[in-house]
Amino acid sequence: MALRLTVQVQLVVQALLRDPAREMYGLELSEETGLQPGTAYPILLRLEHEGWVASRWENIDPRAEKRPARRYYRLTAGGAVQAGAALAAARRPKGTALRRLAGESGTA
Amino acid sequence: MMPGIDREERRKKHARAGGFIALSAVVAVTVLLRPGYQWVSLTVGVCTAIAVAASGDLPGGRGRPGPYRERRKKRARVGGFIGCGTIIISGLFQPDWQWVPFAVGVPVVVAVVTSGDLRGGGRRGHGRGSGLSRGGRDDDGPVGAAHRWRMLAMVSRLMPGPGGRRWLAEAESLLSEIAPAGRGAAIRSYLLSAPGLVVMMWAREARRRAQLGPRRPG
Repeated sequence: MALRLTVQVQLVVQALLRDPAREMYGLELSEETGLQPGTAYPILLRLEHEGWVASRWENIDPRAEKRPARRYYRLTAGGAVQAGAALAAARRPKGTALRRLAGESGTA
Repeated sequence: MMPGIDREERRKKHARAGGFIALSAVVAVTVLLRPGYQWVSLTVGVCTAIAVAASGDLPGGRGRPGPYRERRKKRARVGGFIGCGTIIISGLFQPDWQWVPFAVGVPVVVAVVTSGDLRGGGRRGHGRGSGLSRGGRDDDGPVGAAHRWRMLAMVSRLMPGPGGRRWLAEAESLLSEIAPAGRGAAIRSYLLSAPGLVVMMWAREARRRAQLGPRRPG
């Protein structure tokens, strides 16, 4: 099933596209997009299922760091291309909307 | 000890002592007015009443300390009160069957009225609701936080094994770093998005199993 680019998905993709090589963890993404972590998680999971995003657990000793390991996400090479194209397409006004706008300006 | 806690403890002790006196009065009246075969239920009732009255001061016990155990103790006390009340009242009205609703109803009503702090300080009376219905408030104390944390763990068990474990681990990792003020809202967001996530994960799991094909015996 194709990924639906809702506003929330676009926000997450935009945040990841800002620096495709950079790895981001949940809280970072949540702060950057303004989405609640519970909202961002299913989006990241879907992006991962689509192959746009890859994730990994941080390799640390939780006792030494005094915090649990984070899960880092980053865009895959193919994912960055696809995400960029999808985002550009989503921003482009749709044909029907353009026709309607043209019709309204013609009647006015 | 803090003055607030001291007052609360005193209030609880007074309530327990009051309950014990009331139950003893019922027992005494019963023994005086209806001597005979009721001694069995009366003995059991008195013993239970004493146990319930004293249980608040019992130290230790198994399980984790904190809000869970406190709530369990309160529930046990209320349950004990209902039980011993039923036994005592049944001792009063044994000859006819009409004692049944009375014997059960009275202790339940008394227990419900007097157990305002069963859910941590009588929240219901202040219209605060519980669980997810607490519109964006984060000041629900350790009981609310523990309750929602337990819900996260329960919800993770509805997801396919590895997916649920990963979801819970990631939530735990994120919540440990989030500011305490925003933790409640974050947990709520996890819980609210969980039903969709459960469906999505199981749909994916079903597709994966369908691709693997039926299992062959042997």
